[in-house]
Amino acid sequence: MSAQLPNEARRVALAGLQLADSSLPIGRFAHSNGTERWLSENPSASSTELEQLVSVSLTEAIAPLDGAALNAAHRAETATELLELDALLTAHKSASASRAASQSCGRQLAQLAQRLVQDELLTDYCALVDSRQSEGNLAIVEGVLARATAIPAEMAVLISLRSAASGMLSAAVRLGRLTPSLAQVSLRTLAGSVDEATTIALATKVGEWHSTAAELEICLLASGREEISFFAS
Amino acid sequence: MLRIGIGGPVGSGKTQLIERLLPAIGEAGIKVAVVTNDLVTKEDAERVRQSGLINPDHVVGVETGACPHTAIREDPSANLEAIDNLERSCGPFDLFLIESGGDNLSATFTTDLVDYWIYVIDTAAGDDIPRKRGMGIVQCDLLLVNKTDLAPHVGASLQRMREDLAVIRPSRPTLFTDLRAGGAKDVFDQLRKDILFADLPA
Repeated sequence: MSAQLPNEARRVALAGLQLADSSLPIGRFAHSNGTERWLSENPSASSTELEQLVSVSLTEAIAPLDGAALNAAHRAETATELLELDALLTAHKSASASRAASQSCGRQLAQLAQRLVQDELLTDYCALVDSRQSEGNLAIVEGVLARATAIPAEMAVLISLRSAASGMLSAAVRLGRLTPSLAQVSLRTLAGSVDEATTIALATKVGEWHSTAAELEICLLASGREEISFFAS
Repeated sequence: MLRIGIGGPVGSGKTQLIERLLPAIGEAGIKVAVVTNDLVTKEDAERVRQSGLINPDHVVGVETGACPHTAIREDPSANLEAIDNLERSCGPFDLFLIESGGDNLSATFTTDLVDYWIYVIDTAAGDDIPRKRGMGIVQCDLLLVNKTDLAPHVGASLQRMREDLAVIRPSRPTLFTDLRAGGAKDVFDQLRKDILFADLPA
């Protein structure tokens, strides 16, 4: 006989699944986060090479910066603390395309979040985002919302990193460079990288935030300069 | 603030409709902004910016990640953000015209994004298009059958289209237009009636 999840665990799992849902309307589909540019510079890249890009991006760039920021936001006690984390995260994002993607999606999630759950800290922080006193980076909003919906930090980071990997693969699918079934195989193959990246994110303290995936960073710096592009980043 | 969506297949005349409507909207004293959803380039946004019909700062192009219908239905975030940014930088507008990227006949707008939407098809795509009952044609608030001047050259029967549309859209308005030659007055009059309520007694 299989063990049943307690009701509270089911509710937390549902909240996590909602945050992970690709249909969450926060504009993630409009961003490739450098993948479009990388694919255009690597016209014969295989799915294995794309997996490597995603893996390196997760462990070297997204986890030690956005993942770590999400974890810190999850633990924050005041809106002022969140505002400072938000500003610090923006300062670490050197590419304007990276800032735009993070803040565009984060602000949309901040608007939606207030309709999903009533929480004083979330409300206070979202008011700062709405007035543009705080930038509203996605990782910060995800952290606050996760805490408000009782999603543990570890699960929230895992969800966020998995969404980042899925988004990059999805962009490759829409650009005709990867089949949808292969994308799912890649996502499964990348499970170890997502797991490793989660560990990195949880272990990276505020003063240690960094993003050092140079190839992806260069692609992000070049994003938005092309005459022809499908994605905003 | 009103938001009007404009959708339809590639080349049906969506951008031309905006160009034809802008003078009438301006004459009516309505402060308008335009958001275009170009698929790959920002050509439509540039075309409207350079038309001389609107302050170029009041036009913005949105990149939609190769999914025009997603950006107007499943996840309108990119468009909502563009609207928000325009209002933050230029102050409040009376009206937003939101042009979708060219898409197939099933593209529809969500009411999270627009209050009213127009769908544009053209006669050169074939007079059987209405009978295919795409959601765009069936559900839009106002349907335009554009490029009526081309119908005789491509063997399209306007009469047949009228008859089909009378069945498919019995209670919703449809206008037949040749926007290249003008023809947006009827469209603007319909908008005034439907969403500006200009025909209501004072």
